[in-house]
Amino acid sequence: MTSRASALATLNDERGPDADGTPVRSPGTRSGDSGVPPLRAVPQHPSGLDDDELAAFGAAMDRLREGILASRGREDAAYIHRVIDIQRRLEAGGRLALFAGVFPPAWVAGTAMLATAKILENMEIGHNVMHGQWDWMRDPEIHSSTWEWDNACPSEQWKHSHNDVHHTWTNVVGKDRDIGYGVLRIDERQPWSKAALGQPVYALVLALLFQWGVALHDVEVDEVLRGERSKEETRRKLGQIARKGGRQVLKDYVLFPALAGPFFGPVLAGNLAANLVRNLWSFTIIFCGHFPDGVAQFTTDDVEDETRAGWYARQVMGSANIEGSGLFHVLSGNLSHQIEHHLFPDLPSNRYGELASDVRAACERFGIPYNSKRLSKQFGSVLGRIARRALPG
Amino acid sequence: MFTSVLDRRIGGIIDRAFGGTAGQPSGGMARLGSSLSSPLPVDAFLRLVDPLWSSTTCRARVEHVQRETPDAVTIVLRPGRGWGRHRPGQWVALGVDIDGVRHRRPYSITSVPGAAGGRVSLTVQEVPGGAVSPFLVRRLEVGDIVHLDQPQGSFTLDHGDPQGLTGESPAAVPTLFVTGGSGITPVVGIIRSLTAGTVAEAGTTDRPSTIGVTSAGSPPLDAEPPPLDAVLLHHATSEERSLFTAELRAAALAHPGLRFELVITGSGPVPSELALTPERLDTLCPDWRDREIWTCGPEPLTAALQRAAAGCTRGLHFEEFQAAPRAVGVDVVSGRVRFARSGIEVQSDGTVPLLQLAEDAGLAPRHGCRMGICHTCVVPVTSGATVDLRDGHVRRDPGDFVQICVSAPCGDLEIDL
Repeated sequence: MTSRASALATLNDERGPDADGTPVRSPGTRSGDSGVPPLRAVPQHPSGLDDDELAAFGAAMDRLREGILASRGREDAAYIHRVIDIQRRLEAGGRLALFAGVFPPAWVAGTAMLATAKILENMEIGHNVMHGQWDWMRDPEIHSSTWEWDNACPSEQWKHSHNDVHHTWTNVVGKDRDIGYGVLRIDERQPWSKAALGQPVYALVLALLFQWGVALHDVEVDEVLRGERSKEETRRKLGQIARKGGRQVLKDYVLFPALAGPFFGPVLAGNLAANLVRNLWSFTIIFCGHFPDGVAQFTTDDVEDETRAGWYARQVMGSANIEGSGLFHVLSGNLSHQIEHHLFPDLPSNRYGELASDVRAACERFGIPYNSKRLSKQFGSVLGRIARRALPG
Repeated sequence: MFTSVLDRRIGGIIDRAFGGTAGQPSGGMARLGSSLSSPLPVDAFLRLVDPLWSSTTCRARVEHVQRETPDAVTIVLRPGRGWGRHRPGQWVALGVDIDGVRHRRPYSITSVPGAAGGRVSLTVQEVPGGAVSPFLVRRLEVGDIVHLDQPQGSFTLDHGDPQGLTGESPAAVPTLFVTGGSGITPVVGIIRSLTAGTVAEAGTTDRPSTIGVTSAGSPPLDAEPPPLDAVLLHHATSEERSLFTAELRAAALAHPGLRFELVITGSGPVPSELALTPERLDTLCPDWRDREIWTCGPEPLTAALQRAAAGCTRGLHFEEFQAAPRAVGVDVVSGRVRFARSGIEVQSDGTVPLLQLAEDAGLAPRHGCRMGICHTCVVPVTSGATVDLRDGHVRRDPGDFVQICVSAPCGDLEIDL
């Protein structure tokens, strides 16, 4: 721990443009806010920082990244190995307990263990492994190029829709397909139609069937309907989803219940419940990442000629953190540190917590809004927004 | 003994249930197993019971670490399922996690095939400043789990013909082994198997059953030693640092057909009077021209032997045992880049990312963000170093996956594209 602590201390010593900690500019002073148009023809970065300030912020983020890279090692590897070990024991234990599922306590325990295992696998393990957070270990079994997760969505398609499209174009309306998942209207710049009136119901259905929504995400159904995707590509993707989803259904809803023989029913119900819990939980965490009030959406003009530093600032402005306990962070896949995850999507998730205080301090110094609240606040504001955008405006 | 029998029993049950030996599962039970564990392999759950139970990759547990010299150890491993029997003289890629990072290095196998309990031993000489050997020599502990590939290499007396169909018994062929430093490791594996069961290995008395003795049981004491006609000419910097000296001297005493000659060269350049010339070979082994010569050791030694043995009639066999470390600076280094799958070669000035170079060469590697975020484009580097253009970090481990959109070659490089 000494090495990590000193690495971060060094970073703190190398403050940005002002080492005394006073804000570079006061929060909320965006050039657009005063009604005076910016003097330059080049659109200013939505953060309101000028090029020098932005570059200094980017350099501060680069230094934080360096600090983690320099201290990444044995303890981090032990962490992910331990999480994987716990996850597999929970899964095996949950499935065994469900075989005794005619006894209600065994059913509850089995379902809870299996649901937790699926949550851990999808969020703290699968999502993060596929980001390449653990590629540095060079373990071919814990590697972004080989990991297949316990989810109906094929890993290859997830890596495209999520790692590439979403993380590159975070919150850019018209580019980031995660804004409302092609189903919901989240931003006022998304066109309104009468269909939007039903979106509280769509949101509920999406939450209940979230893994299937995720599975179909990369097919880009709306683009297919507009004829903007090739038939072969769409067929290939649907085939992949059918195979992967089919294996998931076979395992959870046919084979394990069948192995239980006369206790088919409780096992099936337990597996359904575990998948449902995972769906609701991941929907909740993921929607809190970018859609609470105060999180910025961007236009394609905002990101024209964007520098790496500008990209950093956009990630902060377009993401929101959720406050909670250590266990909560693990169960959210550390996506409760959504801001740090978006800044450093390929750093090991177990390090986001320690990065958060430095990132937050830097954001305060540079006047970049840093959105962090507890789960009830963030999710409440997401639900309010879904309801509000069902209506025009 | 009991546990090993039990293990084999259980292994057999698993084999039958999940589809035979290492490799692809087959059969109905195997399909059911992998459907139940999907998307993970069955191994992921079997390993919760025993980390060595695996049908796809071979893992081994470190059973014993025995110091051979001040800077060399013999590592006795108990491989799990999936280990194929090796042939004397072969090597294996050993994978170990050091500070969380997997490293793979080739080491010669020094135990005889089919040693008691299926154990396998590797002897490792510390390379000062190396990434892996100092760890193995100083920090590896009993109980650690390591990774093994399958045994490889053709530095074997059977000339790659395990059934021995060539007729002549390997032991009967007049042979000269010329070794230097840790180059003795494949040769000691060969000599142990030629003399198997008849010589007690030095330094193994505390664990007599671990290595060297075949599982078929000890032969009767009055057994005829197999016919043997071998001379081993070994070079070491000092007596203290010479590997297996006591054991080889004992073996030479027990076997009239085996002669062991140790040459102490001292550290630093080899004195000219000890250099391998035809005249020196005449002195050490007068009939050397009539022998099959096998050599493994530092490059100057094997090169000198190659020059001296130009007229050798029975053939000269080499084992490359150590690639010369490449000198690579952290600054911009130009070089040739070879895309291994397509065979295309291009020049690199050391500043252009590999993705760009590949695209300029007409290739279309899979990629995403082009800025080092999404990890869509990671590809293993076969040989050579890369520099991460974002932070200047140089990576130089073969097999390392790099993000080609933000990595430039650092000197000559081959990549799996």
